Amino acid sequence: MRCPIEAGNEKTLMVALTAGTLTPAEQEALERHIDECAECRRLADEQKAVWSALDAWTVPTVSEDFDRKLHARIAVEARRPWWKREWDSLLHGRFSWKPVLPVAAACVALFGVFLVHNPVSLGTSRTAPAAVIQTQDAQKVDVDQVERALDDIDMLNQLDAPVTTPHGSPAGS
Amino acid sequence: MAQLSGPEGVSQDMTALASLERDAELMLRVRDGDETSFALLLNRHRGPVVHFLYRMVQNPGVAEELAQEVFLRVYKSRGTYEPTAKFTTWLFRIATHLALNWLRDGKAERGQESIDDTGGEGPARQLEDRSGTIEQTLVYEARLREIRAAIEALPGKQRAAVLMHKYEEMEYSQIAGVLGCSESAVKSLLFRAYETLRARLAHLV
Amino acid sequence: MNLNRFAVAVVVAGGLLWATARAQGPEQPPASTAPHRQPGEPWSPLDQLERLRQMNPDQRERLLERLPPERRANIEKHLRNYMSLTPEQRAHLREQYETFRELPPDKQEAFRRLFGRFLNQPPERQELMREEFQRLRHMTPDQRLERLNSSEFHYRFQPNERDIIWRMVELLP
Repeated sequence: MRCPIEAGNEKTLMVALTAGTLTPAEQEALERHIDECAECRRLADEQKAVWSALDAWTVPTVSEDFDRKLHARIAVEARRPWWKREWDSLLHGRFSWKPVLPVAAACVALFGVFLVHNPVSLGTSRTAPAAVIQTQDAQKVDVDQVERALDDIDMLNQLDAPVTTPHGSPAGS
Repeated sequence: MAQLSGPEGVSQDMTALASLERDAELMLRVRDGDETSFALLLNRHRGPVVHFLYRMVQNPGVAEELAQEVFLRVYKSRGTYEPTAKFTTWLFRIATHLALNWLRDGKAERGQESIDDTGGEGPARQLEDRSGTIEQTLVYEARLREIRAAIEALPGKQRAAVLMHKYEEMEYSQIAGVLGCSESAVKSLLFRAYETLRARLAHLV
Repeated sequence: MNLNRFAVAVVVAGGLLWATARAQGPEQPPASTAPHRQPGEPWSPLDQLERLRQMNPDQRERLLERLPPERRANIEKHLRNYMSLTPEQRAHLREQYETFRELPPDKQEAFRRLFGRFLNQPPERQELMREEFQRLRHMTPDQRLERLNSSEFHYRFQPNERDIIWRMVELLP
């Protein structure tokens, strides 16, 4: 087989070798090559050393009262007032606002028709749907965070932009 | 019939039957109000989630708190669960988000005081202890510190990718689903992480 | 009476529209290349950015109208640049951004300061520095060290430029 380092896929193969995800044929071919190639052997030995070290790291057992504490938290959650649970669901996006918008739009449209036939000096109903949209979206969009994200993304984009100048201009030229 | 296979005692015959049920099917039953199915899912995934979080945050108390938050969120979201992805992908996605947020919030600095606090488990028990001699115990403790330090030095997503790849034996595609990125990005994360770990741990053999 | 007819019309219209909305099925995640956010997960800056991107102009206008003009112009300019990218380019940038976010806050800040110094260089020097930065990022640590010590690297870049390039490469994982 072609040397993985020359082929540029040494990382994939060495990780797969230690993880045991190569097919038997692939594993045999790689191990034969490793026997002949010092660089690949070094890489494989290092990766195996990492794997062994990680294997040796066992973890504490889960505490006996884990489930009891979890169920206590679930019970506390269930005892919260329904409006607090619904508010939390709203913040986490569980509740769908989709059915409400058409109803709001229909109400506004019909109210508008009503106003045409029975004029009343109320001024702001036409902004109600937009305010609802703004409110529900504003709750989920932190402008400061988004601004910082956009700045950082622009920075990374500029650094990653394709290079167009030829090589080799010396310093200070 | 044997009882109490886990802390909350799901009978072994039910566990055997449940192992034939896929996670998604169980979660759909939870959605329909079946509490027993939730207990079965908890029994099945409690260990892996806690262990993953422990290796992420390296604090057993915090790991269990975060793990409880994971299952609490799963439970709270049961009403709208849709099996659009593997259940474990969803589970580890929540766990990874919580762990990364915790790390980012800087609580890691406070947690540093307890880096050697193993919640009652001595450090020597966290390594496969082949001998009871004091000298060998000290060697094991030193190795464990190096391993933990090497993992802790990895950026959050690299750390999560390595832990899922090594200990949960997840494929690249599933890790990509957990981290919300492409498979090629996962490979890049993993290879950079293993390169760093090779530099730090290869001498431990 | 007009009011009774209006109330009935609202109920009927609302019911019809509600049924239509429900028939469309549960709310699906927005069609985007952003990571799909499952219930229970917090809203990351990228999720919020995608949310901002998918708003219609009116919604965005209402979200940004309260900001000072300079901040608003900055956000709009960066958002326009971001939206002008192809989905593949956006996905690639998001991955880079997520990697960047893994850095501790002080290192993120250090990187931003280095980028600020980068922007202070003449455009033709920025181009060369960008090329070198990209080249170094694709190297192994050993290759990077070799490049840093090479006469070519010293010939091409002034000390200030070498400092910026090298420190930026060291910061990014």
